[in-house]
Amino acid sequence: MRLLLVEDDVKIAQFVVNGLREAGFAVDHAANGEDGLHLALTEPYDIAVVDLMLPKVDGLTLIEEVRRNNIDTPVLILSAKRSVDDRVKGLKTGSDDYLVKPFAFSELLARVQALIRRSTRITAPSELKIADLTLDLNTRKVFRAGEEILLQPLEFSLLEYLMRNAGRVVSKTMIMEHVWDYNFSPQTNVVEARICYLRDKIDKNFAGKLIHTVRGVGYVLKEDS
Amino acid sequence: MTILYAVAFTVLSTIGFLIFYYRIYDVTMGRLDNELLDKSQRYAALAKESGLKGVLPQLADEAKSEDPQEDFYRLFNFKGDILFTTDMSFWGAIDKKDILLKMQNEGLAYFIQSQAFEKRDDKARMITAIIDPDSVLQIGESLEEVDEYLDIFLKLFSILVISLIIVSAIIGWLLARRATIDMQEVTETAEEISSGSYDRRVQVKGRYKEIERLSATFNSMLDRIQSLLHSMKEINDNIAHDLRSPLARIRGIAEMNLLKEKSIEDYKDMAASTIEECDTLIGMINAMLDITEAEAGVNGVEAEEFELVTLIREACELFRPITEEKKINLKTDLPESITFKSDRKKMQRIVMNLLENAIKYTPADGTVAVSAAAQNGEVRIDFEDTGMGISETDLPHIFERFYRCDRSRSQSGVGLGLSLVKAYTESLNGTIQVESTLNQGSRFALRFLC
Repeated sequence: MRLLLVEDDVKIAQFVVNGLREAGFAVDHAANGEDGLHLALTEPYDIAVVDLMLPKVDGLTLIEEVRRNNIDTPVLILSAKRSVDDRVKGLKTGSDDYLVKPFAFSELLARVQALIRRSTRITAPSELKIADLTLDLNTRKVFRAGEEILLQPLEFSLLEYLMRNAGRVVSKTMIMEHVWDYNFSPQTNVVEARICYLRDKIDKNFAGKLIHTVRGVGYVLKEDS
Repeated sequence: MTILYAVAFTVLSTIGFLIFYYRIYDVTMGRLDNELLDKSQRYAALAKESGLKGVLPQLADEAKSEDPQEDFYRLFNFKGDILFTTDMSFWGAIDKKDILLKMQNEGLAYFIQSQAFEKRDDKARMITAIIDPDSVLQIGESLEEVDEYLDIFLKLFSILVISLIIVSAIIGWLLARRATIDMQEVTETAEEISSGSYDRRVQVKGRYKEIERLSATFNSMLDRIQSLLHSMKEINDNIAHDLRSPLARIRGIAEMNLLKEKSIEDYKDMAASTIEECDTLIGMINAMLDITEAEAGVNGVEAEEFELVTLIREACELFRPITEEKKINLKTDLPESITFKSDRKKMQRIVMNLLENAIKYTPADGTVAVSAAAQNGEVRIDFEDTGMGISETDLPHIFERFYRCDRSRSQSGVGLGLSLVKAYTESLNGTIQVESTLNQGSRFALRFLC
């Protein structure tokens, strides 16, 4: 997958480029709007990540220009502006998602992958599977090593989210937002408590841990290596 | 201002006077003209009845009774032969031809005019009337009396207007001066305040109503500014304190890691705690912006219809593991359904924050009760706990930004939760009230119109 990053902050660009390369993307980086626009118009990208405040050509103009040239590469805006107005303006110009700085890299990665999934229209599977854990989306039943595990609705949706993002770290904020539809995180760690419950049911009585905590960042569902 | 006032007054009174003067002039002249016309018509009637023979003695009679210096009578025919005249030596010659020619050209039966004379200063009002086919009667009356009369008027009025102007100028000047002095005091105070003395106020009493109101408004504006400045300063102090602590932790841990060679685990630890501290800081900054935005009313309220009972149940469900772990009895008293039209995200946050607070400050084996109901066009949501309660000294301050009671400092949090709840509740046109007894518990009551 080819990704274009247009970001003028050198340090942010550096860790985003490194992170995305580690995640398997071929990343081109432009440090100003003019270079970014040139690349976007001449090279075929699967996705573009664009900062709004850029030297020479600002992010919104860049996106407008790209859309005017009938290029429908999905665009994710990365911006320090967080007001609803700015978001709406950003999305109206033809971008597909909006992430406010400072952001968790894991969230950026998840959103980038979601945009690519959406644009390539991969059909949704009816069953999610990792190691000996399966989750049936139609019957809403979960099995580990052939044994049915009974989950409460909140636990089921949490596991579903973890399995959809298997191998990727998801933050507590992402879980609050995507699983339970809260756009903020309470002080009390309700996510951690719920993960504990889920661990008791999924991991406790089975060989091989699947739910891992990445301290400070979040959680990841993966096979124990 | 005084000059402007005086000039305006002078111009207006002069205009008024002139209008009045010309009106009087018009009326006087009109009356005179009518008199002259009456006379000529009487003679015309006489001439018709008994010819010039009847007219002449009557004319002589009337002329005799008048002072020839003030009135004159002349009768002549179209050829210019004088048939009768009073003593014209006081008047001088009057041209007949031009008048007759003019009357013939325009087909007039009579013609009234003001006539000037070389021999006299005053003018005369004169009628030239055809009283029978061949005879023309000319009657003149001196305007001296009228002029005198108008002259007196003019003088009287001039004196009146001039004295009025003088008096009004003096009064206007005094009034304006007092107003200016008052205004000057307001200006001076404003100047003092802009150079930093925010506790200065303008004296309100003993002034004109307008200035009194201005002073009062000015003072209340100052009160507001001063309280805003005060709270801003307090918020600044608090922000500085609350931002410093996480930054100090981040910096300290990083420094310790650099001083000595550490294991990879220590570095991972540092990175993880840095992320945690950063998340706290980001959360704080976002909460502050959220509060400010809600208070300022930017972004508006996104109203949508939603099920309030579901929202509350979901929030309770989310905290279930926490309450189970702490052995807190989380009770709900909710009706089947309350559909509510408002900003769902904001309501979610209000409910979550209050619920979280109640659970956080309630010890093990305590009770947290959430109830909601819709009645009389009002939705109420109550959060009751058997927690530590809030002391009377803290109670008035709990909604202030960064305010934390001493006993809540041991708990996690930054002291923005309740400020956010209040700001959001008010932005949704709701009210929040709190009752609390120390060591027994608190009750937060939300009320929304629906």
